[in-house]
Amino acid sequence: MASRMQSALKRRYMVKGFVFLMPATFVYLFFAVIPFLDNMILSFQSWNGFSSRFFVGFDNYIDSFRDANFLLAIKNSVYLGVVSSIVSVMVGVLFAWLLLYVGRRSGSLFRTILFSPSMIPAVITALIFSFVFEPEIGILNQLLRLMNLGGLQKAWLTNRATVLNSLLFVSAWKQVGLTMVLCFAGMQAISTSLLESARIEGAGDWVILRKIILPLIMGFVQLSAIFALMSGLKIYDTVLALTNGGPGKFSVVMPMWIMQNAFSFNRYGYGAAMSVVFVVIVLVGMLLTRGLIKGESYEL
Amino acid sequence: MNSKDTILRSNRTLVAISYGILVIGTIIVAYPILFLLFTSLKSTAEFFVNLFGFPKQPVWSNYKAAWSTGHLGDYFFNSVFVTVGSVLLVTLLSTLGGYALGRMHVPKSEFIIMAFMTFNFIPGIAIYISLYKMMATMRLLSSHAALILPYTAWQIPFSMYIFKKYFETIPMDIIESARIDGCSELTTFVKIVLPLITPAIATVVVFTFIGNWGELMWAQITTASSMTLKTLPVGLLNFKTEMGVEWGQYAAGLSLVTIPLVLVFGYFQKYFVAGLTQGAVKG
Repeated sequence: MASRMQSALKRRYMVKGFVFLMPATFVYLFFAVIPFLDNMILSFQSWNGFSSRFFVGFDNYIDSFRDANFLLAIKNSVYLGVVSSIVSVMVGVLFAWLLLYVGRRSGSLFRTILFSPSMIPAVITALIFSFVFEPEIGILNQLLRLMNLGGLQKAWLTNRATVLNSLLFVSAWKQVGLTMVLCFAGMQAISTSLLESARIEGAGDWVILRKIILPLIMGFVQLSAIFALMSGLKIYDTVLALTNGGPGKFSVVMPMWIMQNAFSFNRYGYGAAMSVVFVVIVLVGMLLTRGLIKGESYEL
Repeated sequence: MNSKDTILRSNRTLVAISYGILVIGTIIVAYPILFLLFTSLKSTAEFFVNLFGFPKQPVWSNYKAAWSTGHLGDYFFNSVFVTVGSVLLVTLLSTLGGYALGRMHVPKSEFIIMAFMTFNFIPGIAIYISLYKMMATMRLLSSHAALILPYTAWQIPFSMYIFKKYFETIPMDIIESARIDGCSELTTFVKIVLPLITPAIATVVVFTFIGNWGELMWAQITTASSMTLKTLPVGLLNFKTEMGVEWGQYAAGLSLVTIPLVLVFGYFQKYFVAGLTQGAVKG
């Protein structure tokens, strides 16, 4: 009897619950899910934005794999995603680990400064780096000149040999702090007595890092690797502000090429098809990272 | 008391190496930002002779020039309006939704929130093409709503996730006793539950603010043909050409946007980090 009354009550709350949930769901459906589904349909259609849409089967997809610029864009995006996530995870974990060895006060100062690029919009960090890479008066070339290494000066962003790695540097510069803060949070959660007993047993710092700290923060490493991979694969603002895809199309990335096709060349169906390929690449990247870095969640 | 650092810090050499490496890292991160600040106070003439150092005679007028000639005022207003509007809407919609999923017996709530979160990984460009045409048809493109509504929507999954998790830590007893006392669900929510979740609100506000303040791609698409709706990220892209070779003014413009962010969010950093680690629990 009582339980039936309770379940009737629960049902009443459930109905109200749906009412509470509705506004958020409605807004999300309207501005994300429905356009995405329409985009899927559009990827099988031809459309210049004005005349009516008509189906063309897989033509857009077939075109996209014959499009040298799109293939180059995939290559660049994947390169920036994979390498910048490897670099930022390695440097981030290193910094987080070293933070355990410095005093609390200086540690929190290091942390605040190293993390600050994560809070600055990507456009702005990119524009700041236009000061660094500028060929004539840029910081980097001037520094090389001061160190009598003038021979190493380059036009960093217009030279094919350096442009991608310059972008990579900016992307990692922005991402390292985030990785560091996440992994440091993981390390904070490791119990002190565990480290203490390892020390008493005579374990060196290297052994403690490899056998205790790293295994216990794998969940955080996995998460930060996924974050870094996502931001690298989706990188757009940085490239637009620094190279606009140049020299030529050499540093073009996926979102940029899709944007241009849809909104500058009015090839909406083609852009939609490439964006679906992009979605697949992002999802595969995420699943692969999950598989490669096993983040067993320990009860900490 | 033996804390973690005292145990590890017995290795003096490693402590020294740690300081060394972290100082170098900090310089690499901080110097470009400092360089921007220094440059923003230099005249163009000084910039060329004193590239690296502190400005000898600070030229504050760079800031004034950047603000007026660069149209920064208009961009700034648009960005504030759009960001604040979407932050308020996100908070409203996702506290309601998160409460429903966490504390109102909605079936399959775990599945619902995971569906939102998974969808959240989809790159924006796979949404923008169709959305742009939808909004053009509805004649929404010429108002701030073209930015506020989508910015609200895209921040809902993560925010609702944070709120759901947080609501679940509030004991059911508190909520039920309010219900038994005859409070309507909305009163319970506003009077009893909301005050208990201020840290979660802070996290969501900081996250949404940072995400939307710097958004570029959608803003570029929607404001391409509008002179009056451009936000700071879009405006700053054109800024360099408008400023010509006035490096000092250009740097002043960039600093105007950067400094408040770094100051305010340096203070709120813990909420940002709390939000990220919350995400980690269920990665």
